[in-house]
Amino acid sequence: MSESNGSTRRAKFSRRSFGKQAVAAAVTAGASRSAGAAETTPETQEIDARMANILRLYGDRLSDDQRKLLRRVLTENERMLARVRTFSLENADPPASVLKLFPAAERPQPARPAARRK
Amino acid sequence: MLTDDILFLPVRELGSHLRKRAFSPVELTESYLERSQRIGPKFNAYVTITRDLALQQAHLAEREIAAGHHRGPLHGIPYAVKDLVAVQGYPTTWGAQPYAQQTFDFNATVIERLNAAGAILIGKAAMIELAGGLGYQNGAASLTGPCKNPWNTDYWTCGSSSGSGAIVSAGLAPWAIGSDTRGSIVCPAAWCGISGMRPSFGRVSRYGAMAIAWTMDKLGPMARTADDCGLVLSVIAGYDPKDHDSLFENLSFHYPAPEPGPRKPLRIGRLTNVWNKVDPELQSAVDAGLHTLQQKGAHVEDVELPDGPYEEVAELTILMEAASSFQDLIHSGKCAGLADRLGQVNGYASEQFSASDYLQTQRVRTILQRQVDKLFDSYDVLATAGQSSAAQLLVRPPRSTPPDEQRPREQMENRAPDGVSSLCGLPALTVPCGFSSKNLPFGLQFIARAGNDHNVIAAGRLYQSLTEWHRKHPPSL
Repeated sequence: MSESNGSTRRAKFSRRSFGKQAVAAAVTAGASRSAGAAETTPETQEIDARMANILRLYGDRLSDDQRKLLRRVLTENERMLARVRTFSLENADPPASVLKLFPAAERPQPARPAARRK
Repeated sequence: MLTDDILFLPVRELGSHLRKRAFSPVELTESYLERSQRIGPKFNAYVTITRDLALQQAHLAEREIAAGHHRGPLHGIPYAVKDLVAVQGYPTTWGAQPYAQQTFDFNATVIERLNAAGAILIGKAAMIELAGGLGYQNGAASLTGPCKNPWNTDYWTCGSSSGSGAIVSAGLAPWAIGSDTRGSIVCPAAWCGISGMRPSFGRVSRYGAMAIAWTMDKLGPMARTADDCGLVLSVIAGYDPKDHDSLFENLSFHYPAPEPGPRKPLRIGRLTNVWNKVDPELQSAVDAGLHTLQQKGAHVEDVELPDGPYEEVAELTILMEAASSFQDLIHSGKCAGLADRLGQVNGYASEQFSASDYLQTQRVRTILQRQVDKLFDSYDVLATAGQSSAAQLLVRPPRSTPPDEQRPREQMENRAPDGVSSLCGLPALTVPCGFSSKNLPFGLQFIARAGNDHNVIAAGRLYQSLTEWHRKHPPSL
């Protein structure tokens, strides 16, 4: 998919507004959960699942205080993930798994080794 | 022993005195060693003082300089290195109890480069455990206890290059190596009233240095002046095939840079939306600093960073990559030996991220990187405060703090410019620009396009040619 096509589609869909709405929803869900409400959302379900997995793996190492702290960490992680997950991306947008400092067209090439003297 | 006035001189001036034989490398080294051993413990500044190595290197430098052989700007100049950099024959603790006995049988690339340049290692600087790689809540999160700010020991140095900041600030060494994954050079430099530079990503080899987040870690200089940062960087920068992300040779850093043509006025974008809240005193100092530059011909105009989840992407990237880099510590349960309550368990949570989470984060990162890069079509540097405030009080150890009062990422949430520039691999430099009403230093920060390390040094040098803040040092020292 070309960049220009992607840009057009992005323009129709505001990252900022959608992101804010989604984050607000996620945070509200987390807050409700922590207040003891019975409401279940995909976000709280994910937090629950991740907490359960931690306890399955490491439960015997963790005190009650550490479990509480971990739940708060998972909730904060979920808030951050919500902002990332709701950011509008096109299929071909690549990851910076290895950070490139320059746009592809300007990416420097490795220096060529000096020619050997014969 | 040499006088304090000499020990607070910048590297360039110390080098000039050495070449003129005003004093010798051995005299200089012995003076810094004596000062480090006498005053260092007051700040918890060092993990290890490498006295034998320092004197051996000083005697060698003395013989060479006496014979007229000069290796360069750092020849005979002492320094300290953050204790996450491997030095053969000495412990490398990563600032953390689980690694208190760790040693390596090789030197990191930066150490090899500094050895070749004739620099003199006098000690390994204290740091936040794992450089904050598994999270931390306050300055007590260190193998050597809280690092104290030389301007006022009730206050923190910031982290994670805490000892490097304290050592330079207190005149225990003229410069130090720090590391910066997200603000760990810029913050302690700003709070300790010194100059500190985070080079472009890949500029300095990290081979032999502890990894937190491979796509964000950098090593860089902390010194008295921007010029000193340039001198140090000229020695430690360069392509290293042992570092996967090392910049190629055709992007080498040379200092000073050759002038490409007539000098043009510096174009400065004053960032107006990067902190949630800035101390008004600090903002006044930053604005006064930019006004000073403007009076000397710089073009200054307000600019906003484009909207985006920079902080979230930076934080998530670190959490996710650290879960991998410290996997052994997490799986073995030895993370329980960390000092910080958050650090003891945070890795368990970070392990729960999915591969999809990581890739989504890195895809967003690419777009954020592009939109930030466009700003530099209009500006040579962006400018803002080094941090949002002067140094903060050292807080009580976590175990004595009620859990409800602890907020896991409180220390990191105010680092918006650090998040942006670290995430995008941009060079940044902070220089002292004034003091708070409590006589704590303020920092003025410059950020440039990736690869344009010269621009932040040029901005810092220009500012320091017009001001005297960098010549101040803690009054009790």
